[in-house]
Amino acid sequence: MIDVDRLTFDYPATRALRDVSLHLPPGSITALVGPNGAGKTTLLRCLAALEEPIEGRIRVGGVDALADPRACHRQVGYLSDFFGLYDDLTVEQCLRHAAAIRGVPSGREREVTLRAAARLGIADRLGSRAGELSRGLRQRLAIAQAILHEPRVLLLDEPASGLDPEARHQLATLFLQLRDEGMTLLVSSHILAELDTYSTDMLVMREGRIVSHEPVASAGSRGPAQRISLALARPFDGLAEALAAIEGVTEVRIEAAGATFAAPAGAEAQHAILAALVARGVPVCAFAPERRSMQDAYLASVAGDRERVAR
Amino acid sequence: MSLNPELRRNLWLELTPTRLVVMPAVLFGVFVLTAVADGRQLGTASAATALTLFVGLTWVWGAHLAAESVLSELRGRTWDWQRMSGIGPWPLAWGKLAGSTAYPWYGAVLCLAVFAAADHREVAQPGRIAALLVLGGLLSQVVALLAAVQAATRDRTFTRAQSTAWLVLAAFVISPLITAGFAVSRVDWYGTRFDSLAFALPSMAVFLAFAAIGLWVQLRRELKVRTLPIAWPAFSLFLMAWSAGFIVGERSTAPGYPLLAALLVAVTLTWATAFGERKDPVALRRLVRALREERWRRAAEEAPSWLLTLPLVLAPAGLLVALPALLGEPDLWSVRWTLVAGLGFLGRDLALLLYLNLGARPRRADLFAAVLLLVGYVLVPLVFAALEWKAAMALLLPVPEHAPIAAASGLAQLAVLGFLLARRWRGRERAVEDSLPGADQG
Repeated sequence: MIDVDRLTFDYPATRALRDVSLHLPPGSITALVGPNGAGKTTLLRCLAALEEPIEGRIRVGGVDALADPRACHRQVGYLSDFFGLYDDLTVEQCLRHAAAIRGVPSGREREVTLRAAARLGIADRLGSRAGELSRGLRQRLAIAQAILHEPRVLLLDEPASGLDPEARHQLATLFLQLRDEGMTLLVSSHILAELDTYSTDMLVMREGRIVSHEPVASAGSRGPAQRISLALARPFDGLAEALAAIEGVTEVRIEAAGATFAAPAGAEAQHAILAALVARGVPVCAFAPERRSMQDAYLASVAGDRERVAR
Repeated sequence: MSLNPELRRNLWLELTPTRLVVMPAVLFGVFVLTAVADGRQLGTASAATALTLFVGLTWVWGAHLAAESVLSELRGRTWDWQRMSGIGPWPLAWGKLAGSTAYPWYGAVLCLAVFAAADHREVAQPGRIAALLVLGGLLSQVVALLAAVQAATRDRTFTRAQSTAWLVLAAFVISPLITAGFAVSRVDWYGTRFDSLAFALPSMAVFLAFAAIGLWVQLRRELKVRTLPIAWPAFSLFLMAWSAGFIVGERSTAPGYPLLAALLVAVTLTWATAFGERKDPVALRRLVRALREERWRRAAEEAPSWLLTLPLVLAPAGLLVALPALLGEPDLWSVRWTLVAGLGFLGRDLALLLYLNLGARPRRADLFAAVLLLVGYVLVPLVFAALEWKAAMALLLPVPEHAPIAAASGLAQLAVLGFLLARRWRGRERAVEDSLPGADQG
């Protein structure tokens, strides 16, 4: 859905993006993470065709964003970190205006407005002025404005900042719903625990470069293999041999009270492995897919990049 | 057919029921007072007050609101919504213009109605004056909006006070035309004598058309629609030809003087745009890259306005250097050297502006350049004049009496600044290549 090739972006005194290339598949939710100043916002603004890079190519939904930025704008919904609202308009007026400037026919304006308001849980605030809303409600209104024209790609810069836990949960549910409807999302945030709940991929940026881009382990549904963590009730000498003998088990790492290994993803395959271990007399007391949090994955990526740069 | 969304948004804000009642109520109060002064009728005082209020409402308040319609979006961080919207540049332009100024126009129409009903015998050509004021109101608003969009492109952060600056600019642009319309009874243009109001009206209409086209072009750029820069050179050529028309005829004896007037207009436009536009190193980098890769269309799209106006300076200057006799002056070489000196000083000014803007802290570069040029063009020459060092003045000004010295000085300064500029540019390019991100962006 999004293809970026060798993107370089300059600010007057600094190079913000260097040779950035990436591919985001349709229907993915990619967490864009990295320290402040890594180039996340710049990348999002380039993808939204609001900024023009000095070099490189961007395709969003098959549209060349540099050759035809206006066509790209139609494909994309974008919520900036420091967004603004028309404070003197009511919520309904804000949404109707957003619908109109996005080309929604006037006959469908009300229907689209009500749908967006209901999705974001602000249907009971249609008569309130945007300037009178709390930070959380403003955030919801802004997201409603960004998705109102049903874009194929949604780019969000710190969408959950200022939201209470319940609103964050609702937001995560909404993102998954939008993903299920076929939307591709790229979400920049510093709150990794929250990203962990809905992201399928993680894109780590540092100093204007992409450090890593990989599926999120906890997303579960993506990738052919998964790491399994095995705990033993008591020491067992033949554990390594037992694991090596089971079909599909690879990358075995023996630990003090058990082992970790890679195995095919899927419940049936993992059930077969567990049954084989029990049949070989291995005293299994716990057997579960290893859960590496996004925080762990992020820190590992950044540490790896630091080492690479130091070398 | 649906209403222009930008117009509708502005109307939601501007034409509330309360405001619709307040405006006629206030105006009614004012005109009751003037009618009392006129002896319980709408007399000459009422007519004059109606015109004054019309000017205040449309030229001043309307222009302020037009500029604010963009600047408030920058302050409120809603401009990106507009830029990503599906609305086209022209609907956005007229939606903003008509919507943001709807309320002042509402009052202005009431004032015009009072003017029509009042005794306006003391006003010569009342119809033309009213038309001139309406056109003036529109022109001031379009220019204010255009200047605000131009400023938005230059700098994305604005305080409320800055919109007043665009208002002043709009007034500055319009006032000569209006003053000419009222103060002079006849205008000589290309050897023909016109009634001043009859001349001012079509002139203002053409200026209004160019301003509207300029606004449309500027909004196209903001909305990321690629645009070939045709409008600015076309306006520059028009202004050169329009200005030269005042020289042709009885006031001028030599055929070169209209050309000289056109040249001075082109120089002024080059200078004004060089100061007014953003000297964006990234855009310059794109321009240099496009030129190196011989992508001429792209280079034209990236070219700053001052660069586009430069050929319009060089063409008449070159013609006058080649044919100095056109100016009818006896000393042909003095004319030539003076023109060369002028070009040298202009080149130096542009190089200085770019040099300062490519520095480490370009925020006040334009102001610093203006101070340096003020010192160079005014202060030091005044000191030299006081000391009666006439030849020394030629080091800083294109003085015809010492034209060779002036030409040598102008070209030497251009060479030095050009060298410094090239060195700074190369250093900057290397610094950007080696820079770590994070200084400018989030």
